[in-house]
Amino acid sequence: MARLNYSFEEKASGPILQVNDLQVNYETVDGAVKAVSSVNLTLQAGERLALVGESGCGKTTLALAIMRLIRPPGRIVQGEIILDGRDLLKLNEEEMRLARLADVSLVTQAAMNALNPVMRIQDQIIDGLQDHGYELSKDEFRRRVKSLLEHVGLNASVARMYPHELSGGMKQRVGMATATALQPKLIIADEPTSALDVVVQRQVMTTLGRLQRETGASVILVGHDMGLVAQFADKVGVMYAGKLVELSPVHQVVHEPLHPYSELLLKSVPGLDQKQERLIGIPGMPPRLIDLPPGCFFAPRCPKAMPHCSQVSPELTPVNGDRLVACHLYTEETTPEAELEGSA
Amino acid sequence: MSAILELRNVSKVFGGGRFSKRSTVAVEDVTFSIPADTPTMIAVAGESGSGKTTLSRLLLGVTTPSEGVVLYHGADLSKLGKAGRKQFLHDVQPIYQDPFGVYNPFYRADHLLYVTVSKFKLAKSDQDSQRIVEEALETVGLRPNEILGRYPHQLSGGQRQRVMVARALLLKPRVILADEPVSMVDASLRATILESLRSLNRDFGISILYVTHDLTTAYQICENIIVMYRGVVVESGAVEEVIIQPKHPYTKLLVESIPQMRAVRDWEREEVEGETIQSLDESQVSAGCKFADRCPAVMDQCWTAAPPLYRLSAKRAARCFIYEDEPLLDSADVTDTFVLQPTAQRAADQSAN
Repeated sequence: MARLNYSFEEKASGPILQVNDLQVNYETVDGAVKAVSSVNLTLQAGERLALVGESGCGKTTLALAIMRLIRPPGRIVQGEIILDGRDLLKLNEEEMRLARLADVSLVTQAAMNALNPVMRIQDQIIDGLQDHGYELSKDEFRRRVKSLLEHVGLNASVARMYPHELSGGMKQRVGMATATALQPKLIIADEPTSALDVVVQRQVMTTLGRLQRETGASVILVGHDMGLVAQFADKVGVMYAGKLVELSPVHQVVHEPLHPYSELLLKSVPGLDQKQERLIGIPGMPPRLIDLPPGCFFAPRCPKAMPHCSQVSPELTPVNGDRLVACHLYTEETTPEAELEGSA
Repeated sequence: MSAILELRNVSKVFGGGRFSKRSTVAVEDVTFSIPADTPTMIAVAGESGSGKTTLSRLLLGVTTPSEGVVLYHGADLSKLGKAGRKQFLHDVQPIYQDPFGVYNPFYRADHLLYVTVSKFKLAKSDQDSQRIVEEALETVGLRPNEILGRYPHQLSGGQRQRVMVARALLLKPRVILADEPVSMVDASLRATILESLRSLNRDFGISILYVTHDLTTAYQICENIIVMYRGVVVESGAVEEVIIQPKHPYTKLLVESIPQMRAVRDWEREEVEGETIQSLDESQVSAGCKFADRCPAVMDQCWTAAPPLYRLSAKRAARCFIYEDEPLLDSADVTDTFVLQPTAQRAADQSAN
């Protein structure tokens, strides 16, 4: 297929995305709201990462920042977003516009609102292809649309329909068909199933999983449903108040969360295994991002907080090999004070 | 058993009037009641379009049934007099899905609480009303000084939803109809809000109808459940039966679709993606069982005849021909499958724990 001159050499494996020291602020009259604070993240090719956390923890902002879709008053203050060797933050607007969809694409929460109500589905997808430099005959375009729709489990007849003729789950699949039209290296799915019910949710997530396997793209799934995340992701990034507090393989997070926040987050999700006497939410509220506390942002709500937690900000450090945790509980050796506290 | 609210053979059809041939049956022949003497928590579950919201709106009296009758203390809800209507508004309180849409942004959030107090003459003086409002807020786990005097946009979604719970509580109603109260908040707040609903049931003896698509939380907080599909009740009974060992093929599908956190990546291993893309063609909907077109266990008779509710045990009924040999559920009243514990019994249980 004819790609425009912005294409670059394919890399077989290795990190596809590197986010370095990313900071995103929303500027308000009262000061800067630090929605994302110094996030570092590496994503391997073909890896599925889920970002979880309470509402307002910055997971959507981080995802949108990678797409460079932060709107004023939001602003990417500093950092690097290196996608397959290119720093997206150094591209000009036109280059970035072309990179979206071709290199990194977005499946939104409300695909229903992302579709143009007065355009047939096929025309919307073809529009995206043409905009990114594809020049094919009408028939070829239609065949391409048909195959894209079939990939997401939709009937080819959907191509000629209008959005209002589709159910929520079908629209979400159209969103995924569009997002994978140019075989991007990274797909960002921002709560793709939060507006759908469980049966459709499962179908949509299975479709996304299959697309990921077939195209080999990496996926960042933004979501707060830990059950869903456990079904989909390879790795989980737990965010709190704009910071990444834990980054671990999904099995380990689910069965043995290290950060106290991850632990509480998991506890707030009831299962079907046994009836709980009480449902336990995380006590307290997330801090206001406009005046963040010193030290660990979670310390005021943390049941395991130690005296120096509210003074020293913990860094994301390796624990047990392939896990990264930002918590003083796991840096005991360096602070004798903590050791005493931990044994008590 | 007397009922505070009762649906008797209620159907609701939208459209299909003089100008339109197309009509949608939102609720079809549902009979069930919320008992007056035994406060219980009933979940109404189903996917979007299953009629669960219409059901709660019928109970609230904001939608009138096309067929059948809604009874409040045995009297037709639509024919209540002024005093009866006021008593009804006092006894039955709604909590809606969207904690953003119910507030008038120009008023402070507490306006909603003070108006309720004055309209229902709950307080004798200003200090009294202040006290009542603060008490209600504290009961749902809010700090009054963080809420009073603030505007809705200054509160978080969870705080706003809990103010709604507090408002419902002010009236000490008999029944709360909660329509997807937590679908727009995150997991942590979901747990907190549901826990406050459950404590209203436990501590104040308020019956709660919890309309939801989330079977996990329904299982956690409710005693009984009604599963709906395209307007009909497909399965009902105690949650331990219906959710843990579902019998109706639709309930089975729902339960299988719940993402289980402990079973990491099970979906991928199974990858039993039933190609159940909803048919948009109305003619494909079967004349018999509404689930026939998606049912993995479909039989010939399902396409032509609509199955009735069969009683499978004391605590469960299901609408499926698989259970043909079982007796019919008497007058299709799903309340008969509920587990109802009298208040005294519950209190004894709690003190035993």
